[in-house]
Amino acid sequence: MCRVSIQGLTPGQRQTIFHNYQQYIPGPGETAGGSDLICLAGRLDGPIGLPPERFAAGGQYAPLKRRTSGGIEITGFDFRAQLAGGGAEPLRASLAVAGEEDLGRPFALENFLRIVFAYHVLNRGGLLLHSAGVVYRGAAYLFSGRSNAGKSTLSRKAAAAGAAVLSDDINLVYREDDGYHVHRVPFTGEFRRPGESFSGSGTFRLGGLALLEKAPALTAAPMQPAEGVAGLLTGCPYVNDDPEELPALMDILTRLVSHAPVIRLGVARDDSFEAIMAALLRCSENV
Amino acid sequence: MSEPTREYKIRLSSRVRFRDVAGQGVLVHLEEGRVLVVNDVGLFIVQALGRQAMTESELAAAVAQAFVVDAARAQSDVALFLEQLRGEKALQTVGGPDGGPAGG
Repeated sequence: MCRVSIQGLTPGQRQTIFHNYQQYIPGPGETAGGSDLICLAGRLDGPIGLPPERFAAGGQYAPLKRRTSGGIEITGFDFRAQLAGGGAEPLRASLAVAGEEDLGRPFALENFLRIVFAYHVLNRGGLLLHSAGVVYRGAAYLFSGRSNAGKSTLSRKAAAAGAAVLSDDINLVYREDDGYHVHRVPFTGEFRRPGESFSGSGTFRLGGLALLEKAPALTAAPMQPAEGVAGLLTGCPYVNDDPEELPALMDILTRLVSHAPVIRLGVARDDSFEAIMAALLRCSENV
Repeated sequence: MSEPTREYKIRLSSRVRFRDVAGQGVLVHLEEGRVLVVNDVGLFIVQALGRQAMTESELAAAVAQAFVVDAARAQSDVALFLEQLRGEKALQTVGGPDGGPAGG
C-alpha cells in the first residue's frame, strides 16, 4: 500500500485530508513513522498561469510531468509538485498549491496523490490500473478500458446487483506470494462508493481481467498476451509514458497477463451484471 | 536522364520502446501515447531497426532469409509495414538529404 505523510498543514487541513484518505494519511497526532513518502506542503509564489487546455490529454485532465535532474516535476492547473527518490530510496515529495484552501480540497491533492501512488506502487512491483474493480464471489475482477468504455456504468450495475465496488476508476494490483491481489485505493470516478464496508482491509484475490468495450451485444474473447499487455498498458496512468519506468511496467504487465489472461469484453447498455460476469467467467475458464 | 534515387537508412525512433511478449511485439510511442501490437515478422523488423539503421532493401533481404519467403513478397510486406510505422511516427531516417537525421 502507500502511506503519505504530509507536513506543513494546518490542523484544519490535516483533519480534512485525514477524513478523505484515512487509510493512506497518518491522522492528527500520529507521527510520520512508517510512511512510504514524506511530502512537504506549501504555497506557490504565484499562480501557475497556464491555460486549462494545456492539461488536457485524451479528453481528460492530466497534469504535466517531466523528469529533471532532481526527480519528477509535476505541474497541475493549481499545483506544482516535485517527486524524488524511488527504487531503493524512499520517495520524497514537495507539493505547492496556489491557494491555502486548495490543500483541504480534493482536486489538487488527489491528482498529486494519484501520481505518487502510481510511482510508488511501480517501485514495489505493482501497478495502478484505470479500471472498474468489483468483488464477485469473493474475488476482485478488474475491467480496464478507455474513458467512456463503460467502467462507471458497469460499477453501477454491479452495485445494483449487490456486488461491492472497489473503484470505478482506478485500482491497485500487487503480486504477492500466493498470487495477484487487488487493493482498494481512495480514488473514484463518477461512481462514488456509498460508504461500503469491506471485511478486512479492502484487499481481494484477483479473479480476472477484462478489457471493456461498448458493443451492440455481449461478447467475450480471450486476447493474445501481447494484445493484453498493450490493452492494459494504456490503462496505467502517469508511468506508461515515462521511458525510465516503462521497462519495469512492461515486465509487470507481461507477468500479469501470463497469470491472468485478459478477456476482451464487449458490453451492451442493457446487459445485466450477472450476464456480464457469466460471460467473463465462461470465457476465462476456456482460455 | 534522372539520377538514381538514393535509399536512406532508417531506424526505430528514439521515442519508441518495444517488448517481445510471447513472440509478438508491443510498441509504445512515448510522445504520441500510442501502443501498437505487431506480429512475429513485425517484431523481427522492429528488433532489427532497434539494433541498427538499415535500408528497406536490407530489411527485406533479412526478412526473406529469416522467414523463408521470396524476395518480392518480403519487399512488398516490408514496404507495407514500414509505411504503417511511418504513419505511427515510429521511424526516423538516418542521413537524410540535408546530411542530418530526418524525422520519419
